[in-house]
Amino acid sequence: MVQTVVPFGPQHPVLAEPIQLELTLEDEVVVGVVPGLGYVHRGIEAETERRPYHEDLPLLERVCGICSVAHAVAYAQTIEALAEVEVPRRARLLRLFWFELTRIHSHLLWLGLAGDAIGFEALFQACWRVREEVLDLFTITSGNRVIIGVTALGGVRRDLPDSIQPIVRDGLDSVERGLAGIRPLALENEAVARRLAGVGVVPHADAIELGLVGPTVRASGVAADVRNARYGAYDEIPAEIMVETGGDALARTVVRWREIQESIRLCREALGRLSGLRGPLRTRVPTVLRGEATGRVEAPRGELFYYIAADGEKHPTRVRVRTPTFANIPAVIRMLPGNQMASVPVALLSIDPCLSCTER
Amino acid sequence: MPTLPDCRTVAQDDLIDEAQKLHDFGWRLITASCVPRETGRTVLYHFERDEQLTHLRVQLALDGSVPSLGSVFGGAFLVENEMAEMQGLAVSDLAVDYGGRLYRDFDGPEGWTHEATGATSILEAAGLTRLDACVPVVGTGEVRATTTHVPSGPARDGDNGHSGQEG
Repeated sequence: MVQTVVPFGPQHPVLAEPIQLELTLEDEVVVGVVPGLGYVHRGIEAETERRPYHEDLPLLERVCGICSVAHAVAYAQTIEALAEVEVPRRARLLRLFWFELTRIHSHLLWLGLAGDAIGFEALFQACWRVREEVLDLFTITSGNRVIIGVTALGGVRRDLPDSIQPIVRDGLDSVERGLAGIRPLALENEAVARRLAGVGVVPHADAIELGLVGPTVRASGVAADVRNARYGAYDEIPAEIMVETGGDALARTVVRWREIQESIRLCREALGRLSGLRGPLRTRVPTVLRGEATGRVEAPRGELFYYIAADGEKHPTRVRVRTPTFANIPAVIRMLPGNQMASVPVALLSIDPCLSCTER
Repeated sequence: MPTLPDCRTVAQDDLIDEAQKLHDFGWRLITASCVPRETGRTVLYHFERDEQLTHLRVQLALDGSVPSLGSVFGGAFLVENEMAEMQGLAVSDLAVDYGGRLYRDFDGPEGWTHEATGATSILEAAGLTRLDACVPVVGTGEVRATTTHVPSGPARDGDNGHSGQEG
C-alpha cells in the first residue's frame, strides 16, 4: 500500500504549543511516527550554569507556567540535598499544599482542553470555570495566579496564616462542589467515553519498557508515583496512588480525575496540620556548593527529575532537567501506530504534553 | 561533599552489559546527564526501582563515545539524541538518529526541515551558539556579552544579534 507522510503540527488546534509529528500513513491508518521538537527551545539549562543558585530558582520556575511549583520544589530539593540542610516542617507542609493545588489546576486545565479537543465545549467551559477558583486560591495565598514564586532555597518565601485558612477551606469546598457538577459531563457521558475509549492504548508492558511516568503510566496499571518515596511532607501525609488498567485515553482521564479528589484531601490535611503550627519558614543555604545531587518530585504530568553538579563556585556546573513530557514522548511513538489519523489529536493530548517543559 | 549514593563507574565498553543487568532486575532508566568538562565528559545514567535510585557513571575523553542504550531501554533514544546535540557527545547505534536536529536549528540554511544535510548553519560558521542569537542588540553593542562570543564590528539596523555574520 502507498504510504503518505503527513506533518501533524507544529501548529495544530488541539495544542497551544508547537510540536511536529511526522506521521506515516497507509490510507487513514498511522504506521509510523517521528516527533520533532525545538520550535521554542530556550536553553534554560545552559543559562542556569551562568547564574548564582538563588537566581536560578525563579528562572527554573519559569520552565513551565502550569507546574512552576513543581520545578521550583524539585530544584530547591536538589540544592538542599547538595547543601545538606533540612527544610523546616512548616515549609514542607506549605510546599505540599501549593504543590497539590498545582496538580488540581493542571488536571482541570487538561480536562478542559481534552473536552475542547473532542468538540465538547461545555466540558471545557465547566472545567476552566472551576479551575479559575483554584487560581483564586493561588492569588489569596501567594498574590499571583500562576508562577506563584513561593518556593525558596531551604524553605518557602510566604506563609499561610491561620487567619486566611477559613477562606482557603471555603475555596476548596467550592472547587469540590464545582467538580460534582462536572462529573456527569466528564465521566458519565457516553460521548466522552466513546471518543476516548480505545484511543492511544499503551499496554502495561510497553509502559514499563518505555519508562513512562505520571498519569500516563498509572493508566496502564503501573503504580509508579514519586510521592511513594515520601519526600517532603508526604512522609506524614501519604498520597493514595490512583491506578487504572485500560491504558487508553479514557483511563488517563479517570486517573487524573481521581487525582484531583485526592489532591483536595491532601490540601485539607496540610491545612489541618499547619493550623496552630509555629516554626521557621526556611533554613539558610550556603551560596557556594560542591558535590552532586539529584531531586525528584511528582509533578502533575509525572516524575520531574533534576541533577545538579557543583564544583565549589557560586553557580552550578551542570543543571539537568528531565521533565515528565520528555519521558512520555516515546509513548507517542508506541501508541499511535494502528490508530486512525482522526484519533491522533486526542491520543497525543491524552498524555498531557507540555512543550514548555520539554523545550526548557 | 555530597556525592550520589549507589553510583558505580563503568567503562564505556561495559555500559550495555551493566544496563542490561539493571534492566533484568527491574530497574527503569530515568534519564542520562552529560557533564562537559575541560578534559572530557562525564555521562551519568540514572535508574529507579521501588523509589530507590542507582547511577552508572562513564568517564570519557573529549573524543570518547558511548553506545546507545536503545536496545535495552526503548525510551533512551530521546535523551541520547539530546546529549549528542547539546553536549556534543558521540553516541553510537542510535535507534532513532535525529542527526543533530532533535532541536531544530531554524537559523540554518536548511530551514525547518530536519534532514541531516551536513551543511553548516550560519551560527555555526560564525562560531556562535544558539544562545548568541538571543542576545539583544542596543545601539551598536550587545546588551550582555560576558559569557558569549561577541561578533566584531558595529551592528546594522535590523540585525538580530549576530551582526556581520550573515553570509
